[in-house]
Amino acid sequence: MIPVHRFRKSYRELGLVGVLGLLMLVMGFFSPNYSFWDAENLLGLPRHLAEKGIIACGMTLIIMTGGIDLSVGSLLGLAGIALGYTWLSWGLLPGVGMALLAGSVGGLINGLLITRWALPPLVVTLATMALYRGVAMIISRAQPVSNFPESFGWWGQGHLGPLPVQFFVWVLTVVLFVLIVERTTVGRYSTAIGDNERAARFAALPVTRIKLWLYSASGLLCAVGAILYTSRVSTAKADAGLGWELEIITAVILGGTQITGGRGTILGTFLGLVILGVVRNGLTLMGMKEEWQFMMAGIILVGTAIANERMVERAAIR
Amino acid sequence: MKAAPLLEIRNLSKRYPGVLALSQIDLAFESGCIHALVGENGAGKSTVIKILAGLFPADQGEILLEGNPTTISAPPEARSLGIGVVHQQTHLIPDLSVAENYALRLGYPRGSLGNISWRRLKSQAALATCTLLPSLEVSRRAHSLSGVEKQLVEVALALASRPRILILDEPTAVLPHRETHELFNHIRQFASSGGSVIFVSHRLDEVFEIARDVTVLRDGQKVWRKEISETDHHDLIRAMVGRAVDFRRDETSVPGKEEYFRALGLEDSQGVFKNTSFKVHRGEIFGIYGLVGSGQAELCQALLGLRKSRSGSVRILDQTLEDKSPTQRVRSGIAYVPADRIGQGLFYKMTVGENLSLSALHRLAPLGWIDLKIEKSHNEDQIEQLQVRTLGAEQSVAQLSGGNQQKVLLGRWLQTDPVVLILEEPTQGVDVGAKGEIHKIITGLAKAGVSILLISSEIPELLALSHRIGIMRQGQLFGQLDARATSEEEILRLALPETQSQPQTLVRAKTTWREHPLRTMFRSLVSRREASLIFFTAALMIIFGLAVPSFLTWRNLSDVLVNNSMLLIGSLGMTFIILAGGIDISVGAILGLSAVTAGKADLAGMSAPVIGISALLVGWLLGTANGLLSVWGRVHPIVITLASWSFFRGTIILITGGYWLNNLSRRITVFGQSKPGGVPLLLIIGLLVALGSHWFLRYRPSGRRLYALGGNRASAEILGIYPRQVMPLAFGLSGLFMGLAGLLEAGRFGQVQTNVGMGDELKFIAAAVIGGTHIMGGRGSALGTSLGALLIGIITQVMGLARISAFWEGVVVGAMILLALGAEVLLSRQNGTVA
Repeated sequence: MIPVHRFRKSYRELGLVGVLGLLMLVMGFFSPNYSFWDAENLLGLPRHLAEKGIIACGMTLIIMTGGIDLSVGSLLGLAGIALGYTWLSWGLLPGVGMALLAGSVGGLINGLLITRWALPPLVVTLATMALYRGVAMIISRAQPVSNFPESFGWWGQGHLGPLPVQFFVWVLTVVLFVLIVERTTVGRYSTAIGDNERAARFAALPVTRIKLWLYSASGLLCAVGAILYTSRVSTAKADAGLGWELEIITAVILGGTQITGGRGTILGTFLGLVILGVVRNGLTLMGMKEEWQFMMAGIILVGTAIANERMVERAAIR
Repeated sequence: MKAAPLLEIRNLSKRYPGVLALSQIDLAFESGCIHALVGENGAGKSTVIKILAGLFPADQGEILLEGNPTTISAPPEARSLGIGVVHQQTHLIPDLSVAENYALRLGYPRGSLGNISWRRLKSQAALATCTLLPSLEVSRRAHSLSGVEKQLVEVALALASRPRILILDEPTAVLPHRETHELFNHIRQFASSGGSVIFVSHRLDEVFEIARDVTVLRDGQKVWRKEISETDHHDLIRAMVGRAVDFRRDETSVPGKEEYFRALGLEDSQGVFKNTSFKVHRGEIFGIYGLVGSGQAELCQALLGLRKSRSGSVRILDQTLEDKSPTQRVRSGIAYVPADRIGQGLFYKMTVGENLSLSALHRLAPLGWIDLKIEKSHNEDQIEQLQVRTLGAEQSVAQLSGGNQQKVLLGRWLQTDPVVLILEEPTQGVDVGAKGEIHKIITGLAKAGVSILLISSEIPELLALSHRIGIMRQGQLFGQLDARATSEEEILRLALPETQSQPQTLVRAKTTWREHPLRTMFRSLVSRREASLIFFTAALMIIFGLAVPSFLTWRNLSDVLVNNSMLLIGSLGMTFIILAGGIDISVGAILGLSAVTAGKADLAGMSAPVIGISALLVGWLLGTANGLLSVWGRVHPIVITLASWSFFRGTIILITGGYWLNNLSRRITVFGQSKPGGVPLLLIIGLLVALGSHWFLRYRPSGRRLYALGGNRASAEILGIYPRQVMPLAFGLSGLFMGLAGLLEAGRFGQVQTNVGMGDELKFIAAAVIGGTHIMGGRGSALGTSLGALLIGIITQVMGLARISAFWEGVVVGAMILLALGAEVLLSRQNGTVA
């Protein structure tokens, strides 16, 4: 008998790599003048994905524990506003610090509501999604902040060699989180909590502490994403990150992490996000209108989730 | 000569992964016979019962009713075949009344128009329960009943269906003496009028008191069947255990003098165990015997810190453990291996190795970083020591047999190097071979100096392993017997609550003034929550009126009500879904798509009825699609509706091309702007929908099924109420309401914007939650949601009047949801009810 776990995981990730390769061929082939394969286009992909990719790392861990965080887009907007407005009064470094603080506090609030008050993560983060977005709008009175110094723009618009700067930030984050999931107690405990929270408590695992950390970390990652985003578009606006939760959650599920919790894979999330990015980019180049992409996103999410379930069931029966 | 059997089982087998639960069993049950089924834990009794109850099919074999082969595919079918079952655990839906739990099994009595007649139901339910529980008020919610009351209600409900065969699984586990006596009278009566009784119990005294025949099961096989007069206690026990009480004691195991562990005056916060004191010495095995529900599990949980104690102290070596969390207690040296390894023990998505190292992981990873090499070697050593039969630490723990799984669980706790090891039913569901091995392990641990608290319902095991034995009876621990000097009979005698001369009164979980008849009547009209909402809303209106002068004008107030109609309708739709235990965050998009459909239909020149029907149809279809996808795909609604939100929004832009639909004609605005007889149509429609929702939720069984499914999914499925029936209905109905709301939205303003409905889902959820709909399902009402919608409508209206920017809306609604949820949690904690 094969030790089921290791192989199943590698199959999944290998499969994703295969799908990615295939898509890159297909998208490139069907794009006008093969523009998809242009260096500029391909190298530009990570720019757009990096912010989401960083947030998706935190989301993966949260979903592994059986939770969810719908407020990530709003936290990104809020952190961006914090950055912009603090910069205006006190300078860039305090601005960055404020953004990180705002993100972490927002995430911590989510965590406290979910752990101390035992409120369901879904509804809590649905509510804070609106709450944080509203706060961002109110603070900024819907006025964006622009004209950031050039040096700041390096993070979001600069290069290190041929690759954009944020690509490295993203990869670093992914590596960090792969290590966290595979090699630290946090990762192990998160898997256990998602597998069976009751048993996790009986096993004397620090369930509350882990959840608080995870939701706070998610908020922090949103802030990092906000900093990169603001740097990239040179603007801090309150509606940044609107609707991002859909793509991020899709990436996590596509990557192989189950929505009900348990085992998770950061690498899978990474690949899933890249696949989604490639699809979106390719379709845009092909001239597919945004509304169709909206619809496609929905279909991809449903299809992936259902396929995931079927695969898990079949594995269990075997 | 025995009569031909009423119920016969031939060659029945059932296998679970890793365990052969039943192996070619033949059983026969005659009418008029009370037939006891006995056996140890894991012998297969529960499996037989569950198969007869229709919970799952056997792998092989036949069931014959009056000689005819029968299949029992679901619990309602078992009921209709005349099999009434009282399970070990009650399956009452907690938030529903006793009367309604009666109706879920036996059907709702219908009155005029096919509506549920609550009055008739109440008297039927009272009639069914009055012999066993004469003073029970059937409109009480099931969660407020005591354990004794719940058990008796289950028996009453089983009898009420007039079964031919009555199956009772440990019915007296929680019953005091007098109630047991009465129950037995009922059982005898049932049998003498021709029924057949299958009686499962661990209490051998009761078996001898009531049964005529007895069959012993052991390790999934039938040992023998005899008439009760042909056997005795010893004979039975020997058959159950497989050998004369033969566990040989290890006399080389001698406890030390030092006291390693002491509990003093422990009292459970919910009263399950009282004033418990004991101590365990170094290397001593202190056994505790108690019938199910005597408080052992709760005591163990309290010792580990998983359960709050009202008072008392726990000391381990020199440390007191009071305020410590479970994590800290483990580091102090306590370990607890719970009885339920499936629900409370192992992680079935993880490997053997991961399960083994989990609780001691902090030792391998002081700063959080795990040293995989050390972990691996520890695990391998452990697997070796405990002789776990596995392919290796990498194997999925789910593939191991029961006995080996138990060893893994034990191994996990051994890795924490405990000073005190609490073992709860360590050999439950474990085959004989592994049982012996585990016993050796336990004795070995004691010899090495570990203090052990051994809780077991197998007396021979206790006698063989323990140095001292305590008895737990109805929450009290007493009798510190020397294991070498006592006997099984003595232990059983002490454990059974039979030597009381005073009849015990039924203990009610909460005897409150809330149950006063006058209050119950008022309560039946308006719940406490709704009353406070009315009060709160009225107060708010007065405050607003003072702050914002233009608020308290007729014009404004009627504006509020009229504009509120869409919110009201949408919130009611959302309520159906939440009640059933689901959620739909795409409802705003459904509303939008319906509005767009209506708008397009209007622009295409369709007549008013067609416009209306198209909107309703679209809404209903989309909602049902969500429900079906969720059920069929077995995916949580959040994922489905997140996806459909995106899909529907895209479709809206696709259809409208990104442009608003303007200048809609009279054919559509008639829905939103007309005033038949001076009363705005919107208002009338809103009112009708609210009344209709109330009627549906209160007087139609399909509406009540929402409550049942949301209240407790597992119990609902046993009652034959399945998500695949209820969810598409709830989602479809909600979609229909969204369709209506969309139609009215388009008609009200004569135009449809592309972002119509965006963000509405939040408001609908807020209205439902504020109105008392429990977010996890099972509680809520049309009136409550309507009041919630009104409140939100007023607040948004006032914000508009006061020129507060629209951005505040998100903040306010979000905050209101959180406040409402938080308040509910606080209230339920005060009540002591389950949130």
